[in-house]
Amino acid sequence: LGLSSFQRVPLWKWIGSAAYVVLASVAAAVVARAVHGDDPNWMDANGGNLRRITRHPNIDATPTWSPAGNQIAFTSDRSGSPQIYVVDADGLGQPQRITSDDSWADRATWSPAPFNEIAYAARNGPGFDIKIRDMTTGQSHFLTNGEGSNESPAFSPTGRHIAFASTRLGNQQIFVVGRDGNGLRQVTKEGNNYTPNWSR
Amino acid sequence: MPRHRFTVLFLAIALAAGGAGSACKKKSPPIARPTPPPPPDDMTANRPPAPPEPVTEAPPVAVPPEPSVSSADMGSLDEINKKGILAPVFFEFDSAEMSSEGQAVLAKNAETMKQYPTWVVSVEGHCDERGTAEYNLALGERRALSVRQYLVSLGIAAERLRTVSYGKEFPFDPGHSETSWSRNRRANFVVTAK
Repeated sequence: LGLSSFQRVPLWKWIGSAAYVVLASVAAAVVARAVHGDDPNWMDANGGNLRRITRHPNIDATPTWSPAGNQIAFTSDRSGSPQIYVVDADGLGQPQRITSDDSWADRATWSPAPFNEIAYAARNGPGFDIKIRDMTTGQSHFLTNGEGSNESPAFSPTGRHIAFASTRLGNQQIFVVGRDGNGLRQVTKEGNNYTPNWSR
Repeated sequence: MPRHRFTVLFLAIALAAGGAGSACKKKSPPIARPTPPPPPDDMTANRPPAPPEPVTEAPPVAVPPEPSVSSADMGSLDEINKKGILAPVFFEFDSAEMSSEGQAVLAKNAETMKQYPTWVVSVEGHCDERGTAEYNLALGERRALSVRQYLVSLGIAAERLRTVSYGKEFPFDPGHSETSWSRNRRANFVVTAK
């Protein structure tokens, strides 16, 4: 795809039935590219299939698909500090900022259906905590509570569990917890481990 | 949660870790290369003042272009990089904008690269530990690209400059103070071919 090496987690998604699209961050801008199918909605004016989703000069990074694939959430520091924004997947609308309670809100991951939640890393002290925002009600709550620094949340394919990286026991390790905050389990124990993701 | 779900997740993480490990082996981890200390100020301060030079009108002379120099006798790439000939550029928190000091450093680096026209240089973007791993990779890339763009504007061929972001993963200073963070917010230079 000619994408930067730092897009570690490919964000593939079928959009309808005619386009298989990968979402990425390139040079700190969010882009999407259809790599399969012939949906004309994913063709650009030149017949290409690369769509630039964000065009702001500041940093836009870590995009995630909404469950239906019609929206994209991402992190941007366009307001002066990194915060989470949502934009229509056609890239034409104005991004809407959805976080404001945290000095740093970053690395959103949107749940699969039937849930409609965004988990993200929020900083209000020395480290990050995982926070979950219900996109239907607009209400947010903390999933972790100040033990170490907690980041890189990843919803399981069912949406019922969240994996994340935490320094709560020293080195950075991967943990899994239920979406209600119960049933915390440590997954890795050796070395340092980052950016978990689930098989499908 | 069923046990097989954990097994699947663990395998996914293990595979990812294995891939990252092999990727790291391909590119050597950055090495902190401290800049040689400048000569003490008092080396010249204690010297008696030089007698005044007689004033002569020098005819204007055209300055010849800087001759290119071979780096064949400068040792291996590791030895060149350990000398810290290309100085790092530092950034403010969550910023990829270059300061006037950074621009001055890049002007010197550009002159050095013009002296050694066969050098190919990797510009590494680094960040302090305060952002998330993923955001810092984007920020580090933005810093490296910013430096690359400025060097190109100074006449360095773009194909001699490669960029990579290490985010917060290879801090030069492992501390957790502003002093440490300021040292880690940098673009670092590594000569990869000579």
